[in-house]
Amino acid sequence: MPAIEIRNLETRLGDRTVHRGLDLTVDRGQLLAIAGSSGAGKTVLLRVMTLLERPADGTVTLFGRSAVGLSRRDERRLRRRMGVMFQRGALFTGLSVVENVMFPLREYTRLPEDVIRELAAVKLHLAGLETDAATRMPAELSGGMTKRVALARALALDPELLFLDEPTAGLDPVSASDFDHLIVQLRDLLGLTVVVVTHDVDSLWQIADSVAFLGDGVVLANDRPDVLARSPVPAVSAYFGGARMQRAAERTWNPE
Amino acid sequence: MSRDTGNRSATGDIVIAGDTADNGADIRFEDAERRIVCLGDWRVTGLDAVARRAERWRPSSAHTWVIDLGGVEALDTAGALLLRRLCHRAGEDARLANASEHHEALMRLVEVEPLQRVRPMTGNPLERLGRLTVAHLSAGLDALGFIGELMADLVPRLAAPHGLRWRQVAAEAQRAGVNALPITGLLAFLMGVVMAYQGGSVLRTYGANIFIVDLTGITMLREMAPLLVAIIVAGRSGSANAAQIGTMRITEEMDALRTIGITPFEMLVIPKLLALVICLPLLTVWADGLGVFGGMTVAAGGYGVSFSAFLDRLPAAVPAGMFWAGIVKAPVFALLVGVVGCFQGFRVGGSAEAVGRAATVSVVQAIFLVIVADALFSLAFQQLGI
Repeated sequence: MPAIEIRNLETRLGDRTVHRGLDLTVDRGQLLAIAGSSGAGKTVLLRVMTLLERPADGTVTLFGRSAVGLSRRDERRLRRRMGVMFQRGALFTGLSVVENVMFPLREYTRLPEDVIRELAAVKLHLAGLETDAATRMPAELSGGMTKRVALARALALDPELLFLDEPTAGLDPVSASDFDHLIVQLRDLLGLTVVVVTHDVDSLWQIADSVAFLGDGVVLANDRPDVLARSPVPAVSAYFGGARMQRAAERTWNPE
Repeated sequence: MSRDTGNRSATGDIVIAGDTADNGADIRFEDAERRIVCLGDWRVTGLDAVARRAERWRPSSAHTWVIDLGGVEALDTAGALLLRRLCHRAGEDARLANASEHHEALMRLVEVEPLQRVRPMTGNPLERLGRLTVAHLSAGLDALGFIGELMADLVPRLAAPHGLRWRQVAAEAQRAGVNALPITGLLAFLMGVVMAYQGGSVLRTYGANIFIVDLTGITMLREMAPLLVAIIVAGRSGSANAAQIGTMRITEEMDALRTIGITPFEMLVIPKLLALVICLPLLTVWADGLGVFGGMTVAAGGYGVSFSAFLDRLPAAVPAGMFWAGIVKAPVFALLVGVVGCFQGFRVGGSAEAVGRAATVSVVQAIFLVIVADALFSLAFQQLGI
């Protein structure tokens, strides 16, 4: 049973059609990257999968069972099983780092305060943050730390499904590759299904099991990056055959 | 189902599974065998009851305890954390039984030094008073600094007015002045109506109906109209200025302006101030007119003072000095509202919350200062015999 199954998806933003008949399947435990040129509808697709955007047509199946017209209760239950990390972190600015991570736990559980706090510490640690960052406010964090806190918050409820929007954008190369490793590690440790929207060529080559390439409102190709580089579809091979892509590919095959 | 779906049609369905519901988490303390048996689904959202029991539990004897995970059907980091805390409580030589490799991996994962609990800063009342005083004094100093900086930027520019951004001034005047016409007009009219009614009922008992002209004319022109306009503009534009500048600070637009070589004063503060200084006297005249008109309507409708009688009496009842005494206050109120709004905007740092706070504080402070200034004007006018 796939974790996500999208059939014949159509979405519109205003009068602009973003997706026209898009199909996509994400298997459990898979780390799928969504790529495509700017404006191809990657983020909108992510918003559809996280139930933030309503499709104009088509079906979105999460965790395999069908349910039409989600009640608030079902929606809440479903959201509990997914974690979302937004591009710019979207941390709650009025709460400290640790409170940001504790927030979903407080909303969904009645665990003792001590346990929640310690669980938040575990998540921050998993996301690679030092303990002394916990009491800081989001405004006092660097870009990389903000991303890590956002990841820790996304992981707060041990989601089965993790969505990441441009997780490495704006990070220096070392932090970015650390972050990539972290995501793979977490996937293996926690058995997550991960969907990541990314422009980062290194991420695409190094962590993705499969890359879904978006264009013309559909998934033009969905395969391993090295297969995509030899794709017969011009838009795909142009994207993956580009100079930056090729250098990233060489780095992947000849790790220093 | 989804929050911001706008008005898009919703024929698409979102299809999901329910929970893979199985047995809830359970825990049994078998004191006789010194065994703790864990059962069921040990995942974060089903652990409330188990967590409460586990956290209350204390080992009854100091022997070796065994924690049996054989019955655990699912485990996540929250469950693993609870188990780890249980292990610690059971004593150093407690051991796990029937733990799968996955269970053990998770238990290792949650082995993290606990966070120090931060105590909220309370301190004794004296200390708090001291901190508050220092904070307010430094805010006062900041305000002085802001005004100084503003003057240093403003004065040379006023000497060469063609260099000012008149296009910005016009846009601000549209927002702060023209768009405020309906609300100020309506409220001034209603104030005039209310005053004429309340005053008229007293005056009528003395047969002095015609003095409604003096009453509404003087109070409206001299006090009510400038005050009313200043308060409305403080609520409309002062808060908007604070919020706009505050948001621009958070989004680094201020810094972007600076790097392009434009000071925020030049681009934002000075146009806003100029627009307010130009608009407030004009709005006051407008409110004067509508306020008096309100009084006139009531006088004609309820107290037998016709429009023409009212207008005949008006110049004699309200000398021009009264009118000017009201008008000269308006630019001062404008400066207060504008400077307070912009200053609060510049004090914003960090969070979205701070923007809201700045907007609120700017309105409260602006209204406060406007009323204080009005009182000072009254004193000064009295001394000068106006």
